Amino acid sequence: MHKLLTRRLSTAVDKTYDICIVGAGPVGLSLAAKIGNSHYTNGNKICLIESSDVLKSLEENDTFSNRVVSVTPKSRLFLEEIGCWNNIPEEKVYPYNKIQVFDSNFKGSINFNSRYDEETEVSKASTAPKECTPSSSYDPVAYIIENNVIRSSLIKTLKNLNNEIEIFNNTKVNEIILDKGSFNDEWPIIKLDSGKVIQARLLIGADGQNSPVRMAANIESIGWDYDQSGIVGTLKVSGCSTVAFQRFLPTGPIALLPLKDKYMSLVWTLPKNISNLLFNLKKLNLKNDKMIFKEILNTALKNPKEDLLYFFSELEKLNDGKINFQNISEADKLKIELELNAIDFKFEREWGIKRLDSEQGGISVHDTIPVVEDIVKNSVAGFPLRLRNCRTYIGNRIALIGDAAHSIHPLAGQGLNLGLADSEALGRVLIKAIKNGDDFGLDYILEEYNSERYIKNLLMISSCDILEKVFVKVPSQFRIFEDLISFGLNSLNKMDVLKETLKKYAS
Amino acid sequence: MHFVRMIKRFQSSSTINKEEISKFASISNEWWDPKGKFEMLHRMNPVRVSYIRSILEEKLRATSLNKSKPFENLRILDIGCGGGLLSESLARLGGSVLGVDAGEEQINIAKLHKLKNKFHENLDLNYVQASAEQLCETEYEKFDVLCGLEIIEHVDDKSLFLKSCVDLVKPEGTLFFSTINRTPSSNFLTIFLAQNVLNWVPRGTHEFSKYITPVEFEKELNLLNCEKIQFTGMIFNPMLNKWSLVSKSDFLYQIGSDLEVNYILSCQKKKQN
Ligand SMILES: Cc1cc2nc3c(=O)[nH]c(=O)nc-3n(C[C@H](O)[C@H](O)[C@H](O)COP(=O)(O)OP(=O)(O)OC[C@H]3O[C@@H](n4cnc5c(N)ncnc54)[C@H](O)[C@@H]3O)c2cc1C
Repeated sequence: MHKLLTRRLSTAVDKTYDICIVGAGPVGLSLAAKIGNSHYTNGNKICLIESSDVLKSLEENDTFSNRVVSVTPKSRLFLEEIGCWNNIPEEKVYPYNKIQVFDSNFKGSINFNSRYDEETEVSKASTAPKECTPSSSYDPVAYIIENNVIRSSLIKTLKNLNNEIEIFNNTKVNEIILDKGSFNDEWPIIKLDSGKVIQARLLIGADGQNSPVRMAANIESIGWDYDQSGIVGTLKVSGCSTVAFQRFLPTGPIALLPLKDKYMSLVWTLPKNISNLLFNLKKLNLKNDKMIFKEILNTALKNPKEDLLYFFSELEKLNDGKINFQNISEADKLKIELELNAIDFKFEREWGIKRLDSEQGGISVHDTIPVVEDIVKNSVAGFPLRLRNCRTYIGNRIALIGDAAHSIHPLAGQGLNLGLADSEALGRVLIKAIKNGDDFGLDYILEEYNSERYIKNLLMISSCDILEKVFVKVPSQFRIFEDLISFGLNSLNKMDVLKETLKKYAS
Repeated sequence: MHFVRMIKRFQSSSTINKEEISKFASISNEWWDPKGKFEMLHRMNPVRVSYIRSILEEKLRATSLNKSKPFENLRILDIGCGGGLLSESLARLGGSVLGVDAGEEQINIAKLHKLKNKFHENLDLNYVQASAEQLCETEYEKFDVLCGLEIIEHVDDKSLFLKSCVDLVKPEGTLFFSTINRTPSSNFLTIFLAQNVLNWVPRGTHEFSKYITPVEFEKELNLLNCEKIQFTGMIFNPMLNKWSLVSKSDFLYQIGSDLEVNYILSCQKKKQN
């Protein structure tokens, strides 16, 4: 017993909590709200630690932030349950009632409609762009909301809970000490960069892809990096739309999600070297860099895929590895500028479109895809793509949720939705355990969360990976495959049952 | 402390079988290992507490609305507390709990666990080594609630044990017991399968002849002036590795086999004439 006392005294603990959540991303915040919202959890001390400044007004800027997420109706239900949905300003929620998915040749397409659309719009030409504001009398396929808006609404929710959540803002977790103890009853010790040391019955990692909690718990994260990266941004387009578009290209899918008025949000997956180059061009502040980006973007959206492949191969020639973009000489800069000027991006694109039109005899299905007119300043950002899933989401007095537990190819835009589902499940399991007076840090209690979420996440993660492989990795010389994809999309479009299942799956 | 010393003076323990006590003592350092020999008990605990909670909430609906501390102001006796698994849960829900066990080692484990936890949570929880009859003889105090879970199947003189339990409760107080029925299926499942084949519980934990049927149980309780006796089955699902209460909509209930193996019961001591 002596040993026990000295070990504990060797690390002076300032305060103990029942639940400590690391990371005030949308997932961590929603879990805090779910637990704090319950009458059963009163008296449980809960804290939330976040290294950035989450309390500063996140929605101050009026332009769209580059990170938007597509929130499914199921996630909306959860946000309603925890009292957050009502805190999201109505004008910041952009519902869409249809996703149009194309293959790279525009031969096959599949539409995911909201129920309302299915019933009333069968006869209408599905190609005509809709009015800007969809009526709210039906269930949309999903809602586009900025990441920051969700976060700040969750913070607002936390301030009005019956159970107070202590927030350590601008505070980083420096070290985590885990020691099971003889009875599995040693609680994790968390050292903060403020010098404070706290201890918790249960430590929850909602701390994103590089989760320090996961690393401390030594939970292996399995997966791979894609040879691709993602580009996100906010675009101003011709005409407005409440339809989301996605086109599968051999170089990766490109998607437009409708925001307000003529604004749409871009999620574009493309080869790493190309996206690096595009970003580096931007940094060089060339005369034409914005125009070039816009033309390539429009080509990716609307042209025959060969046009895009041509642009990409021209760009790759520039990026032969000899140029050091970080420290570029004026001569090299001039050379790049000259070479870029030698390609008439605008002409090539317009010519490609004409070719497509004549091939397909005028108006074609892809006319519904809007044309990018402008790119909102400072809205473009890039990020690496990876697939990860942890071996387990729990340990003794440890649970992982959201991106800390898994990350997914963004082509389905499901990352946040999976995280919110984790948070709902873990919250439910914890509230039940608290109701039964359990020591809810023990892994046999947490196991219920793990077994509920693990399989579901794995299915979603792997089906996105399979989609990626089928649509992206297929070598272009195997045309037969592409025809199969077109065939697949077209027949899928006719198979209501399958589509319904897919849609359910996606929500 | 005074109370503890008083208890220690008692030598005889009539209802508790000496062998039974040491059986648990030898493995009691594993009490708090949820993956150890008491895994089944750990998994059963939430279900038992949820039953106790629902019965007491029903009863106290008018007086207690505190959802996070529903057992506030209740003096609870946990007889046969072992390492304190149930006692701690009851205390966490606001109860003022006395855990009692005849085994010295069990009580020490329970105390040690509480001591370690004291760094984190301040529970109204105490432990004493004694048997039910010894407690009775001290006439120390009467309790609002008594829990004797998974204990009667280890007791020799069941009538004396139950009489002591009822004596320890205030008039209109609530008693909870859980145990195993004496049926061919319970013999097969709890002794042959769980103990001898699958090693879910340590060999020799249970003896078939000591099991008690609901009918016998009810008869004893009736004689002891208890009323509102109600039984609920508990079943273990090996696929989910989970215990649950048998509800009225369950198949087992509808074919009348809900109490075949494990069951839990609650009753109320009558108001004195
Ligand atoms: C560009 C982009 C576009 C996306 N688009 C979509 C989409 O359309 N739809 C969708 O559903 N999902 C999308 N996602 C995924 C989605 O954003 C994530 O799944 C979601 O943000 C995960 O939330 P989280 O709370 O788990 O993690 P995060 O949002 O990463 O939050 C983790 C938090 O932990 C904090 N933290 C980390 N370490 C520490 C430490 N040591 N101490 C204290 N705090 C710490 C961080 O500061 C951060 O705030 C996208 C992701 C990206 C990058």
